[in-house]
Amino acid sequence: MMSKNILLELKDVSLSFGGLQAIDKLSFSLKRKEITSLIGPNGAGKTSLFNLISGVYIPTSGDIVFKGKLLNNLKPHKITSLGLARTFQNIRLFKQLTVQENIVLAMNMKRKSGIIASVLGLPNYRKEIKEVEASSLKLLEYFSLIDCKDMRAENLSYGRQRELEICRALATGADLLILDEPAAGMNPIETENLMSLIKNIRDDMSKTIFLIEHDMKLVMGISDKIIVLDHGVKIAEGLPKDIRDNKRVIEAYLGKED
Amino acid sequence: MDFLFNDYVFQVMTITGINIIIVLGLNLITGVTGQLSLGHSAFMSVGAYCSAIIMIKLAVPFYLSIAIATIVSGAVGALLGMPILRLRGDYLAIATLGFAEIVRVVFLNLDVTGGALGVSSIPYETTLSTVYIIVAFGIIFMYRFEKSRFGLALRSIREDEIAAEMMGINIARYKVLAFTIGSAFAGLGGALYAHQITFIAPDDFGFMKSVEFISMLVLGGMGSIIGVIAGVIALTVIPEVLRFASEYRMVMYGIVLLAMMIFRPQGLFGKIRVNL
Repeated sequence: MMSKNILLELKDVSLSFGGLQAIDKLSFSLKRKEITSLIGPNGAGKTSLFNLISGVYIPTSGDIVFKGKLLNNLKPHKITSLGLARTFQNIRLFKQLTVQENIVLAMNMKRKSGIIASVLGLPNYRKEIKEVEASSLKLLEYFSLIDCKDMRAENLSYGRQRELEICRALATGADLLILDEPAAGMNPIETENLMSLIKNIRDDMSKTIFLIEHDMKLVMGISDKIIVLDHGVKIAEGLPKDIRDNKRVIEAYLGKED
Repeated sequence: MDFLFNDYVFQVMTITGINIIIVLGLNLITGVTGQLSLGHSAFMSVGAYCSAIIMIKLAVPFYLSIAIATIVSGAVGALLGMPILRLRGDYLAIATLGFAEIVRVVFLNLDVTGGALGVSSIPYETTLSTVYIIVAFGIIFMYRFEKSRFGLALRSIREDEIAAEMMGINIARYKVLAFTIGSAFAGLGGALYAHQITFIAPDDFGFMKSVEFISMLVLGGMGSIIGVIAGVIALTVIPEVLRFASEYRMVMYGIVLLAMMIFRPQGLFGKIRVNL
């Protein structure tokens, strides 16, 4: 039974590369308006899982269901159009485009104007441009990026680039944001800001967030639920306080006591 | 003033305008979208042959025949684009090079194209003013197209293909679009060329011609329309000015390109880096 409250559901999803089993019969679901964190040691298959969900890889078996639709064989851009957007472990902004252009590009799917209307500057095209400008400015305002809207994305500071990437993912109109190590390389103050930003996105915009993170302070601080992955297998799932004391999780990170 | 207003100068100016149209097309594919094409001259030849043949054999009026040539070249670009645009960088470059050779050999062996003898006695129709009116429209079109959502999508593909796809851009469709429009511009330029020179043969559109277009684009600055104009003028006019140096002129041409790449790798008016 698929409850209405569930946004994304994985059922026995596996992924193998030749002989390597990257993800092994993984099942879990994400509830709407919750922040779920995915943690696990290096090489546990976290990014592979993100690549599966966003359509970069096709699952070897199992089903990925988003808003009641099967994602298995959809191309990445189709998946994005259903309302799922991601960020990357290594920042992948459009470096030489301006901050605002990065956001406007992400709104492309929703735009309807044709080539001829665009080139001739017909009224419906001008109207569309106005709408897109306005909503991009609103988003940039929310992220306090408005002052650098005309800067090239590559000239932003590292922390701001990370924020712009989240902002760009939101601009696609996504309901589910999947963030791959959003705090990687950030200093403690930037991480602190990021935590409140992620919480605000959930609360103000009613978004669902799924993130990979190694910074335990962030994970423990904002997660409604934590999923722990090791060698492609889910070894634990639960509230932050349960995960903290889970024996299998501690073993996965620190090794077994003899 | 006679030395400025003679047929020779008019012809150089006409060829310059034609080259601007063709390189505007290449700029869309390579400078804006970041897809290196080494087969641009092939699309030019499709337009040239198409317009020349339908005008001679079917007595189609000039403007209609260059319009048909433009559409046919665009369609050929789209057909080529579909299978090869999943390739990237140097692989794509080699594939476009192979395609250009196929086109050249086909024209070399068909009866209707006159084989190695080419097509001669093509009606002379291309005037300086026709060319520059088309150049003006071409520039306006490209300027507005690049600023539109389509141009933005193409630029995002140049910047980061994977990120573009993740932001909902159907990259295959947009790449085919860039190839279609870029090839149509090359075909239009080719048709104007045929009706200016009045004689065309397969060897006029060889690999070196494609390289020449890329040199113009790189010299002027990839991704910049002003750069396209500057690059074309420089590389069309310099060899003419250097005619006094007879066989040394291509050496000087080479030195200009070399110096440019060392001192200003982004080109005369280029503002962006294009990693092909």
